[in-house]
Amino acid sequence: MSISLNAFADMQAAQKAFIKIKNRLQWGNPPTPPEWTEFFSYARDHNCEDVTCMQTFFEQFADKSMSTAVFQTWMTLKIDELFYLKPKYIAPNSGQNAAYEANTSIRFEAFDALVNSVVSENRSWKDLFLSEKFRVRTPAPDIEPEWGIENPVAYRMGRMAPYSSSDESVAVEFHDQPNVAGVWSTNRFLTRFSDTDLNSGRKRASVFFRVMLCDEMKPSIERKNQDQLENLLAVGITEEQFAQTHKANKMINQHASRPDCRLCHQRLDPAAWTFRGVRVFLGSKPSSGALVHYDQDGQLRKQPVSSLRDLNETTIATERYKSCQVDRFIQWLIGYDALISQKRKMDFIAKFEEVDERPLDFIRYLVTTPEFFTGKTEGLVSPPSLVQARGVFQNCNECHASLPFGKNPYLARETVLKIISKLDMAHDFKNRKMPPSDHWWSPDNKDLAAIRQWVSEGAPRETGEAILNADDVRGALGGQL
Amino acid sequence: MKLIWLVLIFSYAVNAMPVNSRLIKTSRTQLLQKVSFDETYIRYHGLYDIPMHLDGLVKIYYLPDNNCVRLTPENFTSLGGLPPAVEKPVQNEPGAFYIDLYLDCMRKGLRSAFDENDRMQTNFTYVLGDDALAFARRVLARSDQDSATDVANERAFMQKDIGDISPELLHDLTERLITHVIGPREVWSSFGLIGAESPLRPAPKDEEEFIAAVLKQANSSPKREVIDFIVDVMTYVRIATLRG
Repeated sequence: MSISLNAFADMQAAQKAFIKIKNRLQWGNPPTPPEWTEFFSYARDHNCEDVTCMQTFFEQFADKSMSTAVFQTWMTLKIDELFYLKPKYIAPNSGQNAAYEANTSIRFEAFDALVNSVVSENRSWKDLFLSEKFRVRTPAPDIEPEWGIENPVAYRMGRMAPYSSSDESVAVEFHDQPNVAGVWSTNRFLTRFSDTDLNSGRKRASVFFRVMLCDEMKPSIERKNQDQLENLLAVGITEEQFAQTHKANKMINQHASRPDCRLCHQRLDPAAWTFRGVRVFLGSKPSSGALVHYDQDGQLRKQPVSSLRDLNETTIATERYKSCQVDRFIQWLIGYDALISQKRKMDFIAKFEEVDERPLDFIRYLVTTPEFFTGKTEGLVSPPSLVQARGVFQNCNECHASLPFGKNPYLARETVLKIISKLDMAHDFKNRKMPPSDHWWSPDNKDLAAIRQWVSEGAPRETGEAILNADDVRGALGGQL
Repeated sequence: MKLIWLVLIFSYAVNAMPVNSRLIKTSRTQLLQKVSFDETYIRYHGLYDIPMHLDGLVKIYYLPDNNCVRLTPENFTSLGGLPPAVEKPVQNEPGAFYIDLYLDCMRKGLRSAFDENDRMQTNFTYVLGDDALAFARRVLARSDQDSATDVANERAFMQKDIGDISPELLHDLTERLITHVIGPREVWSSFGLIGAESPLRPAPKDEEEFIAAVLKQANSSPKREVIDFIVDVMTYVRIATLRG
């Protein structure tokens, strides 16, 4: 760990660093008076005059903070939110917390036990997605196999089952089961994201892509209908009239065959096939599929997989997975608006691997980096072409979301390609559709040149990371580079 | 058949649960709201963080008003969400009433920590320090010479009219409260509460001006008991650190 002395020249910087560590690791709370006493005692005993000298103290404090119920509850809620699950608030130190009881209809489930175990025991992050060891609630005394399922424990893991009323739990361990893959096999996940004839596991697969690869896919049927709604409202059709048509169309899955929809479905569907093994219950037969994803270079890769478990193992081996998980920790700990250079991001990924993806070790590292204190990599300078283009795009913000097009690389790429298409950049902006002809603002040649320059450089973000690959740029500029 | 009923009941229970961030992520328009909520959480923290913030400030075991930490269709616009029918660029700031709602929840939570006698005793010392009772006696002795020794306990102190307390002791009380919320005097400026970057207006130039600003804010409340003053000061300082 190296911290620039220039950035943290005095003890006030150390105080600010301490406040931030406490704030992030203890749910937004500032240090308490006794913690300040410890801080000043350490500084006095070690003659500290800057933040570098306080590093050991910070690491010890981070360890202490991460061992508390407050931190573990915070992490658990973050993971709940990541999976779009209803948070189960169980306030630390308060078994009788009436405010939370209503939200905890299920106090103990295999999902929660696994998450708690990874966070509190500092198990590898990939255990969340691969673990074969679970704890489940004690079965009710009268539990009987139904529908010919022989293993009631497996049945209970996969779908609903009558639990006993107590919070007692039993350990369950599987060995080489093709459909057992950490949280993906748990009741809480499977009941939250139900499988239907229409979605055929795609709903579960879309969560998989979002969580594992930060590849967010939104149902395009909704996008299509939203666009329709806006257009129809604009020409005087009422929302009620639209709703009637919408209801009739909703059950017809037309969009999967559309070329623009295939962008997602070519990735989504092969992964969804592997979820057939947990469709109704935790089955023993594998269901093969494929991992189709964009790699770090933006190239579409296809890797056949034999089961849900194999899908997870294959995904975890990809660079995109590591990058995604590191991004997640950066967002949670440093902030959603953190600006980390590519080089530093590679350092973070290397550390993530070095600590074997153990979350507490990685967080301890993260909260003592300069980026944690300042929110950005020191010396990071925005690409000049981005600065120019951003000035032009500000005129578009009245109706559209602003740069840098979100954190998701795939959505960002699709957005930029859409802009390129709407501006007809390949034909020198001759038939551009945006901004509309009746709009008050229209870009002049200088503005268009700024956008062209930015695109020709691959549409770099603040961090210098290019949104477009070389093929995209070639296509955008009509074959010229 | 039994299983089908169980599935149906469970499905209903899952979907009928109120106040749920997942509910606002299930369609495109609702997703936009969620983006805005994210911003709210980052800048101001969510309402569901309030119990955790209270946990650091006072010894508290439950919130008296559940609705404070619940997201409902009625309050989501106040919290920075967008009405579903309006597809406009995402707001980056919470709604105009968010801070009021947050303050109200904090006040209710803090107040509840002092409302019951046993918890009042615990929190009295926790917030004001080990010499809290001696301090209270000093305050009461100054303001009510005759009955000072009779009423010198936590409840008497908390129910005292704030107008009866001398300016010097009020200053001491405020400093104790600020110290409890954010730490000793020498770290106040590290919270960004003092100097040009302070979110407070006018920006305090030093610690004394900061105490004066907090006093002024707390005294603007129409309630006059010491307990109200304590709750107001703690809430105000806490929210200032969130915004800073």
